[in-house]
Amino acid sequence: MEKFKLYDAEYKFASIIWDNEPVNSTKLVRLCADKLGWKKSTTYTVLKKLCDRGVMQNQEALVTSLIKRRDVQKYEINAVVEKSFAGSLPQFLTAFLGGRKLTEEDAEELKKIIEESVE
Amino acid sequence: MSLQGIFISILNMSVTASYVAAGVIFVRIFFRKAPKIFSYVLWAVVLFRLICPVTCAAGFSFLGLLHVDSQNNRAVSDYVPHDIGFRQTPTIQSGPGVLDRTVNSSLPQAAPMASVNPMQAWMEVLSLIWIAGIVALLSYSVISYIKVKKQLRTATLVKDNIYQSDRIGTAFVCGFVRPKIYVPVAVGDADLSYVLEHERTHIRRKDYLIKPLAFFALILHWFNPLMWLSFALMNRDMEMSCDESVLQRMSREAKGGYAGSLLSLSAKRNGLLAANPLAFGESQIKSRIKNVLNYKKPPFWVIVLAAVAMGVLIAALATNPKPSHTGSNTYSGYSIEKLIANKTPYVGHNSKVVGLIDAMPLPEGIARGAVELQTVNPPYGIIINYIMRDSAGVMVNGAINTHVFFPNAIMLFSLIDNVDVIKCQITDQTGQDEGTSYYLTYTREMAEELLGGDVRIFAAGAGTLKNLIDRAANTKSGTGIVPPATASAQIEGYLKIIISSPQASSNPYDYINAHQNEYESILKMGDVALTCLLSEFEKGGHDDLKGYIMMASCKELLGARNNVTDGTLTPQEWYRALSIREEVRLPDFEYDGQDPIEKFVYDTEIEKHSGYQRGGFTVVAPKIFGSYEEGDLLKVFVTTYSASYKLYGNALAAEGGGVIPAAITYRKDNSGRYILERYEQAGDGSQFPTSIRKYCSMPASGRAIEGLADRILAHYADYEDIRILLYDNLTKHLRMNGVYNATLTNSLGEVEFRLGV
Repeated sequence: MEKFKLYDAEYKFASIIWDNEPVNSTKLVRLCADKLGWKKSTTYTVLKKLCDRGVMQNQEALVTSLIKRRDVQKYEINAVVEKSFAGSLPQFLTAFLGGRKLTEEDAEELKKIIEESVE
Repeated sequence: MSLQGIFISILNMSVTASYVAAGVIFVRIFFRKAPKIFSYVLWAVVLFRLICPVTCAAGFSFLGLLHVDSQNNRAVSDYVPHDIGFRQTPTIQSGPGVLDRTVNSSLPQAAPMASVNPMQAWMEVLSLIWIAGIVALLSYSVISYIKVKKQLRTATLVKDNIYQSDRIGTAFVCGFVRPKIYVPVAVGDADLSYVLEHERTHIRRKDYLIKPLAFFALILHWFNPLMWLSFALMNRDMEMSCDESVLQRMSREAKGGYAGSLLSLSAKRNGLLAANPLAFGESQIKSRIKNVLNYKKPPFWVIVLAAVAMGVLIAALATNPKPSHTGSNTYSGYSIEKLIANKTPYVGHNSKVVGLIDAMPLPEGIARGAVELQTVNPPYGIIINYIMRDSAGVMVNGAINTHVFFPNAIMLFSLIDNVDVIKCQITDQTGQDEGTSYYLTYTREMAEELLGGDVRIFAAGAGTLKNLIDRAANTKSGTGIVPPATASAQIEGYLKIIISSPQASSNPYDYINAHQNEYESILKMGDVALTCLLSEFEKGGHDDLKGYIMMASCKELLGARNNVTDGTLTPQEWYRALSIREEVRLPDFEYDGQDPIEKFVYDTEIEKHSGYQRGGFTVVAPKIFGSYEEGDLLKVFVTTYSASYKLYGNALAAEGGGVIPAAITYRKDNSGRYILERYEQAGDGSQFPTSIRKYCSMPASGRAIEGLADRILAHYADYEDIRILLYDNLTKHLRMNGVYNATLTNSLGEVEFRLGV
């Protein structure tokens, strides 16, 4: 499960790959320099680290993701729900919504998601 | 410079900086309410003192105020002397008080037999410990800096030079050339604007460079706890002044928000970063929040006042005291206070006289020995014994400078009312001419002649004494006394050159004429040469060419003191017949006639012409052409034949003289006495006739006196009358003084004047 845990910088880096994959590594270096202010060596170091953890893969200078954005988001949410709301989804939702008003469409979509996930 | 040398320099800078840091900490108390930028700027002076060993000296120095007396008075303060490892009794002088005494009593003394002075060994160990500490601290900071840099590598760009990272707990600036601002990811938008403003201010003020520099200085002085305290306080002042600078540019309402941001960031501090001074961690949150909440824009007058006070303080803290202000009040090596305190009318006052002598500087290599006082009969004198261990301080071109103690003697004549003669006896202990003594004699007349009057008036106060010191210092060049060994070697060298050519001749004067310069050099050495040459004759065997040249030199040096007139004697025969005549001291001529005007003229002329020769006496013979009275002025026109002589046994030697026309004006004072008002002398050369015509006028109205100048000029062409008068006066004068037999011979050997027989 640890491979889903991404630091802030790693998450931002991964986002660039998710948005552009499959991406040529030279192009990735340029993208990181522009968006993150990274040096070439930093980009390669972080890429290597993520490849070693099986998050990304780099085959013949073409970078693609093994773990998708959704997987990471799922992990992050679960971690928050586990840690702060004792695994209770309703509590989490209450806190998340806390006084916030939902639009008609948002509410409809949420209902749909909940119904689909009910077994 | 050795490691030890550098360490000692650092030690000295550390002591100075400690004083300055203590001063800054003290001053900060008064600047509590003022903008913190002032306190921050003050630390720059401490930093300057920690890094720069030299500064300029100024009278208003803060260190002078504390009477910090370092061991030498230069732009560099030396509390710990650089040769401490080599001193018999090592001492430090870090300032007033008990500390030095405690430290000094704990410093190990040198044991004369040991090969290594324990203090030297100690200094070696201490400097090694010092350098080890520097290496340790430097490597720790470099390593932690590299660690931080590595962590920050993956920080992501927000915009411009702002980066975000989830590895850090607080915002800071990092980098030297292009500094970047790093912000924790978790900082909210509200806090972010404050945080960024704060960090941008740091960058604008170059704090990111100042702090590492200060830390580097701290590493050099790591052994000084006061510097660690100073570093911490400086950081605090830096942050607070930075906060204030931010608030000044923000609205009034921003105060609360800014303080809140400080608090929220402080909650997430990261231990490693807080300890690393190369990056900008936030510190002292509580006092900073208080400072922010209490912050009011200072009124303009407070800023102006604080800025002026700051300028003065910085100048005072950054400078060293002036040499004359360090320790006791000295001026050119003279302790003015002691001179004034020991001023005395009587040479018999032993302790005061010695006190005066010891308040004066001595040339290098000279130490004072016993002081003897001659107080029974006049002339009253002081004999000061000196021991010469190194001749460099008193020798000029291989000869002892006879004026080397003259400035000090002048001071003594000024400060001791009744002393007439000061004799300095210098005993040679340099190893060369070991045990030989040189005598330098100074008389009150010499001092008065030099200063143009009574030197006692200069003893009135510190100002006049300093004036006298300056004027006396200009007298340091005299004739040289050549030490005997050097002198005889020199004379031997000159003689060898003289007898080398022209070999064809047997006349010694041919050899002398061929080597005028060498011969003159021998004569210039004066009595030293005479002593050497006579002691050579005493050894015997000098009837050769060299002996003849030696005899010729001796005869010239002796002059009238030579009693042997027989020119046919060989050198050794001449030496056997020689009995050097002692000088008979006579006073100057005194007029004993009844004519009041003649009496005035004689007195004035004697005064004008005597005193140029030391020893000897002066006789004058004036011819008076007329005296004119107008109002209370009396003008007398004279031509005076004056001559100075020395008397050796019954041989007179002419020392100088001349025939000079003059006009003397006297003024009658209230009690009817005539006081000398003006003395006009005929000019030289082509000016001679015109200057006489010019002064041949009435005393008050200035109306020309018909025919007077012509008479004076005509007489000047043939002054046989006053020549006869001069010898008459000389005869009278010698008889008056009990001399009934005397002869004056001119340079050609002809008798010019003979008395008696």
